[in-house]
Amino acid sequence: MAAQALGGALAAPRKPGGAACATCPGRDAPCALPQPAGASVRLAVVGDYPTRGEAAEGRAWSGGGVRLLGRGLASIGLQRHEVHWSNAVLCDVAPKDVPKAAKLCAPRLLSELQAVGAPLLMPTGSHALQRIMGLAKRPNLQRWRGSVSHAPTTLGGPHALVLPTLDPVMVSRAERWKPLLEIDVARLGRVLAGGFTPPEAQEGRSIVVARTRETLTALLARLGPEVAFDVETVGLGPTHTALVCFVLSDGHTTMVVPWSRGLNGLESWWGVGEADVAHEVSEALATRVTVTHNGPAFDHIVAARYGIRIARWDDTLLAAHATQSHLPKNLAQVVSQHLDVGPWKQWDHNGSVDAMWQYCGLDGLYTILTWFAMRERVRA
Amino acid sequence: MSAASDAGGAGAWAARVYEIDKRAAGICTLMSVNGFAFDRAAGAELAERLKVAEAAARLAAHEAVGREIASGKSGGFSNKDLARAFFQDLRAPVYFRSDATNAPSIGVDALRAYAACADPRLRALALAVLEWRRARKIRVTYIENVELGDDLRVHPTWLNYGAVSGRFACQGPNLMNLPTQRTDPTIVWGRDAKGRKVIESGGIRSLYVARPGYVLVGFDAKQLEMRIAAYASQDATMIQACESSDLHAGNAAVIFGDAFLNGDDATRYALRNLAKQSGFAVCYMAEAATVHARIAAAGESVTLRQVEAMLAKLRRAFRGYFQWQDRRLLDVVRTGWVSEPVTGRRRWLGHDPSPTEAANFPIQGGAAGLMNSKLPAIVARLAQELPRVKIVAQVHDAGVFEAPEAQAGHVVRVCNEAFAMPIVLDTPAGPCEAVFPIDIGVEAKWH
Repeated sequence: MAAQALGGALAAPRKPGGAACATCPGRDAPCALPQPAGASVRLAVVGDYPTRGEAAEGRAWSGGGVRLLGRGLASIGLQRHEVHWSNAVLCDVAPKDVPKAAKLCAPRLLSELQAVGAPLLMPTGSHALQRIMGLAKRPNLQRWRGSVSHAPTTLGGPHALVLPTLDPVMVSRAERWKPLLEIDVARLGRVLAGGFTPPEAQEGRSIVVARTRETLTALLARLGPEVAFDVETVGLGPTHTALVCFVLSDGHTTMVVPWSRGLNGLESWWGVGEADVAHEVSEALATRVTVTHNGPAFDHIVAARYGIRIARWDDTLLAAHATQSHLPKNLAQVVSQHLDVGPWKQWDHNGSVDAMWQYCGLDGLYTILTWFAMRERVRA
Repeated sequence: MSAASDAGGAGAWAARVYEIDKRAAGICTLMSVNGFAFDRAAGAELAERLKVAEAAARLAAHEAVGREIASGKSGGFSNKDLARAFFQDLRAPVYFRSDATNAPSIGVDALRAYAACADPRLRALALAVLEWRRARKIRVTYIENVELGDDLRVHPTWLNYGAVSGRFACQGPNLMNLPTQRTDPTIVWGRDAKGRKVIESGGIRSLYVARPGYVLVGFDAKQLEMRIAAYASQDATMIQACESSDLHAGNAAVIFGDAFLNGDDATRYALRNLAKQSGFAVCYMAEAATVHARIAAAGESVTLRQVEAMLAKLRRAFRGYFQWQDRRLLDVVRTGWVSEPVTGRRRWLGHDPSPTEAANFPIQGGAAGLMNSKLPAIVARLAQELPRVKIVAQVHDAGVFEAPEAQAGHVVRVCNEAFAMPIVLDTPAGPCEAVFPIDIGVEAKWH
C-alpha cells in the first residue's frame, strides 16, 4: 500500500521529520500530513503549502480546495482513495518563508513521491512544480498549466507524467479561473484513459526545415487549404524587427522556412534569391486561408515587410477573444484549451538555430490544430 | 464542460463578433504600420521644461526637510534617504508598509495620504515628491523613451483584443494613457478673447503632429457611453437628456432643478460640472463614495451626503435605466454571461458577478462595438476615395486621420456620413435604431 510505502514518515505525530526541519522557518509550526491513497494510486496532487485550517487539523488537502478539485476528479472517474494528496511544504509557514521551506522540504517531497509511485503528478503551485520538475528557478505556474511533461526519472520511472494546474483554493475564490481548472481536469481524464502522445509525434505528421528551393517548392505544393503561419523574429517591434524564420503548417505537413542564418537576423538564408522565395510563398498563400495567432498585430506586418503577402486569413487569438475573452489568450494558453501538448514555450533555445526551428515548427503545428478545434465556434 | 468553458454556446453571435473583430484588427494593423509623426524638437523643449519642474520639486523637497536629500543611482531621490527624511527627520506616522520588506512605505498611496495630512512640512515634502515623480515619469516615458522608426514616426502596437470589452489597447508607447489636460504639467494655460481657459502651449499630445502639407482630422463620439446606456435601456428621460443640446446641463437640471435652471452663470457652471462628474455613476452604477472621490479629485468641494442626494435624484429620474440594469444583473447571476447591445459580444462573469462589472460591460462593450463597426467602414471608404489619407490613432471614443490639407473637408464629410447612419441596438423593446453624433475638427497637432 502507498501508505505503507511511506514508511514511518506518516506515522510521526506532528512532522515527517528529517534533518532539514531543524533550520526550517516552519520547524515549530503545525503540520498537515500527506493524505495517502489506498491500494492503487493513480494520481498524486501536490500543492504548495497547507491552509491554516488544514495545518490545525493536521491533514493536507482537507479544506475547500479539495472539494472543488475532488468533484472534478470524480467526474473523470478518479475516487479520493486513488489519489495521493500532499504539499511542497507540510507546515503552516508565513508566505515569505515558503521559498526557503519548500527548498528544505524538497528531499522529503521527492522521496515521498518516489515511494508513492503515482503514474500522474498534478502540481497545483509553483513551488510544487519547481520541486517535481527539478527546475533551477521557480516557474510561472500560469505558463506551465495546461501542459503535459515527463517527470524526471528520479520520480519513479520515465513514464510518470506531470500535468500542472491552478491552485483549486484560489479557483474556489475567483470563479473566472474555474474554466481552466475544468479544462485541465478533462485533460487529466484523457491522459489517464489513453496516455500522452504529443501531436507532433502522432502518425502522419512531420516537421521539415525547407533549406533549399527544391524542398520549399515541393512542400508548398503539398499544403492543404488552411495553413498556419507564424514568424520568429529577433525582437518584438513588428515594424522594425528582423525575421529569423517562419513556419507554414496544414496539420500534416509542417515546414519551417529559414530566413536568416543566425538568430540575429542579419545574414539572409536565401541571399539574392530572397525576393523570389517571398514571391513563391505569397503565391502559395494566395489560394489558401492563412491562420495566425496574433497575426494582424505582428505576423502580418512582419510578413509584409519581407514581401510575403497574406490573402484570406483567420486568427486563433481573435477567435479566442471573440468567444472566451475571460480566458488567457497567449498561444500556449489557447492551445492548452484544445490540445494536449508539452510546455514547449518554456523550452530554452540555448542560442541554437535548430532549436528555434523546432520551436517555430511547433508554434505552427499547434496553431493550425487549435484552429481546427475552434473554428466551428466562430462560423455562422 | 461548464457554461464558462464552452463559450456560452458560441454560434451566430460569436461568428458576428469574430468578423467585426477581424475588421477591427485590420485597423490596428494599419495604425501600427502608418505610425504617427512625432515632433522631436518640441519634445526636447518640453523635456527641458519638465527638467525645470523636477528641479523645482527637488528644491521644495529639500526645503520641507531642511536639508538636501541624497540622489539615487538613477538620478532620482535615494529611496533610503527619502525614507529617512519622512520617518526620521519629519517623524511621519507609518500609514502603509511594503508587502515585500514590511518597511514603512513611501509609495504613491502613502505619499497621497501624507499630502492630505495636517503637518505642513510633511505635506510639502509629499507634494514635492509626487510632483517630481509625475514630471519625471512624463519626461522619460512619453518623450525620451519614445522610439521613432526610420520614417521618423512613432509606430505603436495597436491591439483590438487587449480589453475584454473589445476596446483597443496600445503599446510602445501607450497613446491611450498620455497625460490628460488636467494632469499634464507641460501645458501652459491662457485665456481666449472671451475669457475662457485655453491651452497656450505645451501638452504631450501636441507632440503628435501631421506631416508637412497634411492636417489631422479628429472625431470624438459625443457622450458615447451615456447614449449607449440610454438607447440600450430605452429610458425615455435619459434619451431625452442625451438628445438635448447639452447632456450635462440636462442632468444638472434633473439633479438640481430650479437651483440650476434659474441660477446665475457661475452657479450653473459649477452645478453642470458636478452633474458631469456624476454622469459616470449612472453608467457604471458607482457607489456614492466612489463618485465623491471622483468629484473631490476634480477639485470640487462637496460632502458625501450631498453626493448621495444627487445620486438618489438621478436614480429616480432614470429609473427605467436602473431597472434595466437590475434585470440584466439577475440574468448574469442566472447564466454567468453578460452581453453588450451593439454587436452581441459576450463575456463570462460567473454566477456571483461584481455588479459594477456587470453594469460596465454593456456600456463599455457597446461603445467599443460601435467604434469597431464604424471605423472599418470609414477607413474602407477613405481608402477608395482618398488613398493618401491614413488612420493614425483610435483612442477611447475618438479617431484621428492624417490627411492632405486639401482633402480634410472630404474626410470630415465621410466621418459625418458614417456616424449619421443609425446603429441597431438590442433593447428590452427589441432591436432599436439610434444615431450617435460626433464632434469633428481639423488641426495641425493632436489635442
